[in-house]
Amino acid sequence: MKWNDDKSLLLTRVCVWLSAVALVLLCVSAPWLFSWFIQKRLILPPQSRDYFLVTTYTVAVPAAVALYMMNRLLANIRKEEVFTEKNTRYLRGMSWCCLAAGLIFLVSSFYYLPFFALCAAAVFMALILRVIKNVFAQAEEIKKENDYTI
Amino acid sequence: MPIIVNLDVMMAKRKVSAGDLAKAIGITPANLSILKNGKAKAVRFTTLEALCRELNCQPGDILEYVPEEGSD
Repeated sequence: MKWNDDKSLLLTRVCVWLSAVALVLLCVSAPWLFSWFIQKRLILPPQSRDYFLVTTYTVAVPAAVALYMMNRLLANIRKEEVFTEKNTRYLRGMSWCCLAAGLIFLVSSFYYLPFFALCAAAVFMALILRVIKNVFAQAEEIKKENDYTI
Repeated sequence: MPIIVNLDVMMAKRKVSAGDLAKAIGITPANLSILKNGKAKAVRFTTLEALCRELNCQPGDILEYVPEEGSD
């Protein structure tokens, strides 16, 4: 593996870790954060803070799972095990996590409409990940064929 | 698969060990083992050429076609 590829991989791993830290910080500060947000936006009733908290904590679960899978996937790539069945499974899992987040945002958009934009983004991301997963599954076949060509 | 690899027979005839042959044709012993055990999906012409050169034989001595039962 080239030095540059290694560096790029390290950058991605750092980004994944930073995202994980951001997720934890969001979960910890969510009650305070939404109180402040609702104060700023006077159109929202004060009790809607609980709805926001439910949305945040339910979305945190698929987000954490997806981050864990991303980390495992990157660890496998670092070991130069790229097109394997395990990685295809991780991508599939991430796609489902995005879809789950999309559904949570869809339900949340009933009390706060802007969540619908996040729902659309998450569902679209799930779709992109699905296509990448399909590419990985195909590449896995080609790799197997290549490995057994002597 | 209807193509049988008779590499082990040829190696026995020429009294060549797997390690020596792998080194002579420039592939890893693990890959030679895959080829010998019939697990390989394809053989490169360059590999076949090196095998024939080192074992002093023809491709037909290494590969054999056996029709599958039930096929015409």
